[in-house]
Amino acid sequence: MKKILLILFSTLPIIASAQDIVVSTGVEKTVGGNQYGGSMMYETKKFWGAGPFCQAGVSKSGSENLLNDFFYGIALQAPIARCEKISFVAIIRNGFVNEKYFAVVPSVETRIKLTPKAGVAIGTGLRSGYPSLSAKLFIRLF
Amino acid sequence: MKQINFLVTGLLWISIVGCEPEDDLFREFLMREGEHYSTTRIVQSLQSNSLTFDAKFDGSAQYDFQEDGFQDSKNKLLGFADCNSLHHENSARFAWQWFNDQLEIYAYCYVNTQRVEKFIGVVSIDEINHYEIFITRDNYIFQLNHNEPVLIERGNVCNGGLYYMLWPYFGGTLPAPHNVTIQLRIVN
Repeated sequence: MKKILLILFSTLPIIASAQDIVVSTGVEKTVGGNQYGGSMMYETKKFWGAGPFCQAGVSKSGSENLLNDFFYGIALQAPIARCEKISFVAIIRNGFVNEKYFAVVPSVETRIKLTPKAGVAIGTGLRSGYPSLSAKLFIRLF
Repeated sequence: MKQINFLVTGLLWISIVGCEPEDDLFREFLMREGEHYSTTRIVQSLQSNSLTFDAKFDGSAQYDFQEDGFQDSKNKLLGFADCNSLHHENSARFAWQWFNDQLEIYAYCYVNTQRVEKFIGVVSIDEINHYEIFITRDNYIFQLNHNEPVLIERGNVCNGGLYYMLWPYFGGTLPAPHNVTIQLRIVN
């Protein structure tokens, strides 16, 4: 038991320093219209990641803006390739649309680092059987 | 370098959210001679309270099996399996058949494993028609163009879960007698 605790405490700073919380906000253009939203991804140094996301479309009803096709769930991320400024990742979003319809949305994303902590990402996915395009701004918090 | 980065980013953003006209989103589904299933085969789930699409048949939708029992067999157009059900348990689809020298459209459902079919209307070859299936708590509501809606009672299914899409399928019992093509454009 002491050994386990010793190993845990000695490796904890290494584990903690090898991870990031990445928050992003952006727009996805789908066959059903634009959707806006964001995500918070727990990401390792090797770009594996997981975290919640939510997004929704916006429609006008008179003078009011209404949210529709609310899509939320968990996103899983896997690295494809990376270099200093640009990286490519695969993302699978699993969740519910309109709180009823389970959906799995695969996508790939190109990330461009603009500063050490922030950057932009553009991606393409598959929504409702048609390709979608997305653009995001992301910030590394820790 | 930073300015270029921001410029490129800005241009990408504008190109994505811009107001350029949509491409032609019709997709061709082909049921080859001797086969039931269509290509392209896509795995996709329904993500809305309604399935709305446009469809266009061409001359390949005309066929003659010389026997009424086969001729009035329904070919499936598009639909979905209901919440966490298999499509032979609970599902809702539009179906079609070439019968009496016309292209007939049907509502075609499985409700608690029982098959339910209702005639909806007739469409013309080489004409784009608008189809919608609305899901309510108790019913599937089928609408073809501005025709009178057709209701079929929904089975006893869950509310939240997987609603997988069901794509064009020839038959019935017999496979396609020749290559059959259908153009589909999913709106929502």
